[in-house]
Amino acid sequence: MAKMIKKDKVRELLDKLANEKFDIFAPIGEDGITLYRKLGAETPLLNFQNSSKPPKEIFFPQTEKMFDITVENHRLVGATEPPMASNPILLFGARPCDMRAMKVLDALFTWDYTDPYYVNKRERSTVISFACTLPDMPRESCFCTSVGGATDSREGADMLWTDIGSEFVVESLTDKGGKILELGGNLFTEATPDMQAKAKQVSQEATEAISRKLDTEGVKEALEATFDNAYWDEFSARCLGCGICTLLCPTCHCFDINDLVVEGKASRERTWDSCQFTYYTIHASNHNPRPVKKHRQRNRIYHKFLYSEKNLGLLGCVGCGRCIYGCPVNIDIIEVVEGAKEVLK
Amino acid sequence: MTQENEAKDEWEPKIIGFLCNWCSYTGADLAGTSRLQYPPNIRIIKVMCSGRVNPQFILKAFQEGADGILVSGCHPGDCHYIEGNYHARRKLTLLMDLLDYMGVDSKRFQMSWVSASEGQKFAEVVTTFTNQIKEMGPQTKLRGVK
Amino acid sequence: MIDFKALEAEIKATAKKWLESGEVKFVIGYEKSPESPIARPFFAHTPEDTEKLYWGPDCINNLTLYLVEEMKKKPKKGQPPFTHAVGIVVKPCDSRTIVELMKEHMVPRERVKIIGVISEESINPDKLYLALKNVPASQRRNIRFHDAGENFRITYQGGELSVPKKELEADKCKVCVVHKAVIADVFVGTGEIEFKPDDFSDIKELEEMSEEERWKYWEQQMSRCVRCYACRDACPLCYCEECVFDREKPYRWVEKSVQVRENSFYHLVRAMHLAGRCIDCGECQRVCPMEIPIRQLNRFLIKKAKDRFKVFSGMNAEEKPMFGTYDLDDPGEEIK
Repeated sequence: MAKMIKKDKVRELLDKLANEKFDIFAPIGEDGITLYRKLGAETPLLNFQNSSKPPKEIFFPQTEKMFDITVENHRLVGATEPPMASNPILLFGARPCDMRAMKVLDALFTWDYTDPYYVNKRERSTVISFACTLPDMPRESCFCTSVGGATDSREGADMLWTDIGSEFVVESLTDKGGKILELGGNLFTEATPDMQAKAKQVSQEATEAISRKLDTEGVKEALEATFDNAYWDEFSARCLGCGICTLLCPTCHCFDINDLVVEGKASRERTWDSCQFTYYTIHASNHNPRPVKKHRQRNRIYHKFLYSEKNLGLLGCVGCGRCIYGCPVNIDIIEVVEGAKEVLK
Repeated sequence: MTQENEAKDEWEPKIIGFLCNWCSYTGADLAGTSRLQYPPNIRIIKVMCSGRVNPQFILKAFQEGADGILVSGCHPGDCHYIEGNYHARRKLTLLMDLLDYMGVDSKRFQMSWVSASEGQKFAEVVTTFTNQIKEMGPQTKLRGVK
Repeated sequence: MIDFKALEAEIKATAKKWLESGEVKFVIGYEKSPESPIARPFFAHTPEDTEKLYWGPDCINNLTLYLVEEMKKKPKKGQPPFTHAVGIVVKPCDSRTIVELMKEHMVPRERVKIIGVISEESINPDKLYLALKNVPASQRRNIRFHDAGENFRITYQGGELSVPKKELEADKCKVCVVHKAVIADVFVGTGEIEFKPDDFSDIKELEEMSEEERWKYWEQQMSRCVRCYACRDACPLCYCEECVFDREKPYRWVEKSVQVRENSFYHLVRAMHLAGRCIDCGECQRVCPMEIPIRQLNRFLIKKAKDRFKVFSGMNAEEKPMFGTYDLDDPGEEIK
C-alpha cells in the first residue's frame, strides 16, 4: 500500500528516527555542491542534483581505521580492533543509480571473503531512495536507462519516495522500510490513487528527459577484440591522469592498506585508491605494468564493462554520469565505449 | 588549583630548532659552553645552511606535533655559502604569510640570525620564543587534533 | 564585437599551414565535443585534422599542460634528442604559462610555435550549466557562442538564448591583467582591451577575517578534499618527474588518509611550490570536483610575491624564477 508524507513533516520524521538512535546521513548543500553528511539539526536537501561524491562513502569510507597497533619498546605487541557499532544507519535521499551501485559493492565485499567493516555497516542500514524527478534530475550526463537502471529503480533500496510537489509518495519495499513506516506513525498517511498516478507520471517524465544513450549490445565483444588497438592511445591523449572519474564513481571500490604512525600511535587504515594513479600498479621492483595513461584509462573502461561482469556477474556502470560530468577534459565514457564498437566495425 | 590549570602547568611545548651548521649551531654550542641557561624545550636539528630548510620541513614538523619552530642561520652577508640565508629569507617569510592566511598563527614559526659568537643572543632568542609558545598553548590545527 | 567563426578560421588556416610545411609535429588546440557544452583539448596531427579545430569563449583548458608533456618525452637510449616543434593555441593567460616554462627551461623557444588568440574573457562552466538550466537536457547539444555586444547569444539544438557576458564570465577573467598573448608567433584577432590593475579585492574578505574564522573556513574546505590530485595534474607548472606526494622512498611526506591534517599539508605545500610561478590560469579550481577555492591560496601568494619581492610571474622569460634568485634588500622584519 502506498503511503504519503508531506514535505514539511520530513524534519519531524527525521527527529523521531534520530530519537530511535538512527545515524542519519542525508544530502546537504555545501559551497554549491551536494554531499552526504551526517545530519544534525539542519534540514536536508529534498530537491537536489546528484551528490558530487556518491553515498558509498557511508559504508565504505574513504579513510577507515582497521585497527590500532600497540607498540611497547619498539616492538609490536598487539592489535586492537575498534568496537563495531550497532546503532542503525539511515541513508536518507539516495538516488536510485547509487543504490544499484551498492549491489556491485555488496557482491565485491562478500565475494571470496566477507569484509566485516563494510558488511557490518551495510547490515545496519536502511535506505530511503528518492526517485529522480525534474527539474533537478536527470543531469545532462545521466544515462542509467541504458545500463539497466531507471529513474525510479527500487534495487538496493528499502523505501522509494517520489516527489510529487508538496508531498512524497512513499513506497515501502522491505521489512526495514516497514519499520520506518511504523516509527513514523501518523506522519505517513494513505496516498490517494491520484497521487500514485502522479508519482508514476513524474518518473516517466524524468525517464523521458534522459538524453544520453548507450547501446550495451556488442560492447563486450568490442572490448575483447580491441585491447591492443591504437584507438586507446587516441582518446587517452588528453587524459590528465587525475583520479576524479574513479574516486567519484559509485561502483569503484579499489582500496589501499597502510600502516601509519601519528604522534607515536600506530594504526592500520584503508583508503580509497584509484587505477588512474601511476603508482597504483607499481611493483616492488619498480616495474609498472601500466606505465602510461592509455593503459590506465583502458583499464577503467574494461573493468566497468567487461571484468566486473566476468567477476561479479554485474555490469560495473550504473549510468550516474559522474565521470562524464566531473572530467576536466571531457572524456566521455559513452563516447569511448561507442567508439570502441566503431573500431571493431 | 583547578584541574584545567594543572593540565596547563604540566604541558611543556615541543619546539624544533633548525640551526645552520656554521653560525647558529656553533652559537648554541657557545651558549652551552658558556653555561648560559635557556629552556630545554628546544630540540635542535642541525642543517648545513638555513637555505636547506624546505617549507615542507616546517609544515611536517607542525603536523607531527611541534608547538613552535625556530629556524636560525647566519646574519645576512655572512652565509658560509654566500647566499643561502637570502634564499631562506625569501622562502620562509612567504611561508609565514601563508600560514597566517590559513589561520595558523605564524608567531609559532620564528626565524632569527645568530652568529657563532652570539651565544648570549641564542639563549635569549630561545627563552623569549619558548615563553611565547607557552603563552600560546599547544598547536592543534595542523596536527588535526580537535 | 568578436566573430568567433572568423577567429576559428584563422586558427585552422595557420595550423594547416604549419602542418603542411612540417614545421610542427602536431598542433594542440580545442575541439567541440558533441555532448558537452564546453570545448575540450584536441591534437591535430594531419592537415585534415585541423578542420576539427574550434574557437569560442568556452575554450577553457590551459593547453600548455600538453606542451610540457611533449617536451618531457625523452628518446630511447642512444638516439639523438628530440628537436621537433609543437604548435599550440593559447589564450592570453596561457601564454604566460609558456613564458614561465621557458624561464624554467622546460620549453625551448624554438620547439614551440604559438598561435596567440586575442579574445575576450572565457566563461565559467558552472555558470554556463546554470544558464542552461531551463534548456531540456536532450537539447543541450551543438552549443555555439555568438558575440552580441553585452550578451552572448548561445545557440543549441533547436533553440537559442541570450545571456549577459558578465553572468558567465569566469572569476579568473575578472582579475586578468593581460589581454594579449605575451609571446606568440602568430596573433589571431585584433583589438586593444584596456588593462585593468588587479587589486586582489576577491581575497580581501578572507584576509580581513580573524585568525580563528580563517582557520574555520579553511578547515571546512580542506575537510572536503578527496585528494584526487586533479589540481596538481591539471596544472601545467606541476611537471615534476616524480611528485613529492607520490613519493614513497626514502620518506612518505603525506599519508594517504584523507583528513584535514594530511589534506592541509598537501594544499599548503602545493601552494608553496607554485609561489612566484602561478599565473592564475584557474585550472586547479575549475577541475576540483569538491569546489575547493584553491585559487584563493594561489592568489594570496601572487599578491605577496608582488608586495614582498616585486615578482610578477609569466611576463618576461629572461627573468630568473623567484626562488632561484634573491635581492639583498628583501624584506625580513619578522626575523629576529
